Amino acid sequence: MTAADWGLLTSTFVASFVECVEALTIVLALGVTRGWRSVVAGVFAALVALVFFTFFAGYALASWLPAAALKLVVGGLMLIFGLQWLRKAVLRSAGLKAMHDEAAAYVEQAQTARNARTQTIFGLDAFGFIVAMKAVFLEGVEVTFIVITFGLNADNVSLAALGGGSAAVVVAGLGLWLHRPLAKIPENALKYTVGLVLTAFGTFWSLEGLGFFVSSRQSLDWPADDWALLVLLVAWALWSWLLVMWLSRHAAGGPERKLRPKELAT
Amino acid sequence: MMVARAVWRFLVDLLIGDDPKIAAIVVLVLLGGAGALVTGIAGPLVVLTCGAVTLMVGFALSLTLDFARGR
Repeated sequence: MTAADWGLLTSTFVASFVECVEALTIVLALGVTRGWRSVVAGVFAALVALVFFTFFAGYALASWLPAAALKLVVGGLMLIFGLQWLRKAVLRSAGLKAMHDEAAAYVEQAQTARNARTQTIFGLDAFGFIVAMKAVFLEGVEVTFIVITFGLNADNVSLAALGGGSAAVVVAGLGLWLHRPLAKIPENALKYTVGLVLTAFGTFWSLEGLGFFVSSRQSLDWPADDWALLVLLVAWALWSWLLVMWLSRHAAGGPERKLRPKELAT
Repeated sequence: MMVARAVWRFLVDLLIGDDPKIAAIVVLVLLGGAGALVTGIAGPLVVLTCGAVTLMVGFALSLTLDFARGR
């Protein structure tokens, strides 16, 4: 495998790992409080839906769009995703937003599940089934999106799928083994890293894809080719670090300048 | 109707997230870059470089706006 292959595998594994950890927390909380039968059925239904979603989304993107337009669309989406992650990471690092805590999320989810009323449909607990299915599907769509976009742009969907799939298997295995949320995983640091990677790749591909609007319909060429990606990654890392420093300093100036509690909690 | 609304909310949540400013910045920068290329105002190198810099400045402005508003 080349360095680019390892980069693709690692990127998809780490990005998918973070999403899977969040899904595991919800599934564990539901399973313990609502019973495993309905929750496992919900997870299975979500996985089936994800297989269809992956197939059709991947087929549509790969078949219907020219190469430059594909880079523009998936790069643009990846950039939005990445900047959203990076925004939260910068706010958390500056102390303006609460750190994500899987243990606290587990307690909160379990409490909600205990308080929910029981309604049985086809012998399954409706709450456990629907919430588990929704959680796995939502997090799964993000994993799918990351795998498809990275895979299509690197022209190696199978390797990207291997990265994403391995993360799901590892998280599921750890969940089965430990039977508790993976609270000790440095999730905030991982999210910061993934946000940077998604943002750098998104910047690179979306701007490259603007070549769709020139007469040749070919992707634009970055100076220094793929090395520009590394420059973008370093530039975004430095820029975000400067923003963290700046926000931290100004946040210390007075509580009235901090974000509202609602923003802190999300 | 309920299903359509749920799908719409799902897509908005997935694509726009909890800060619409981020999506707006990305769309504006890409539209600006496309416009510059189509009209010939700027060449590819300028569009690539200025596009990346504008994204970084836009991101900083978005965070500053959040902070200043005390959201």
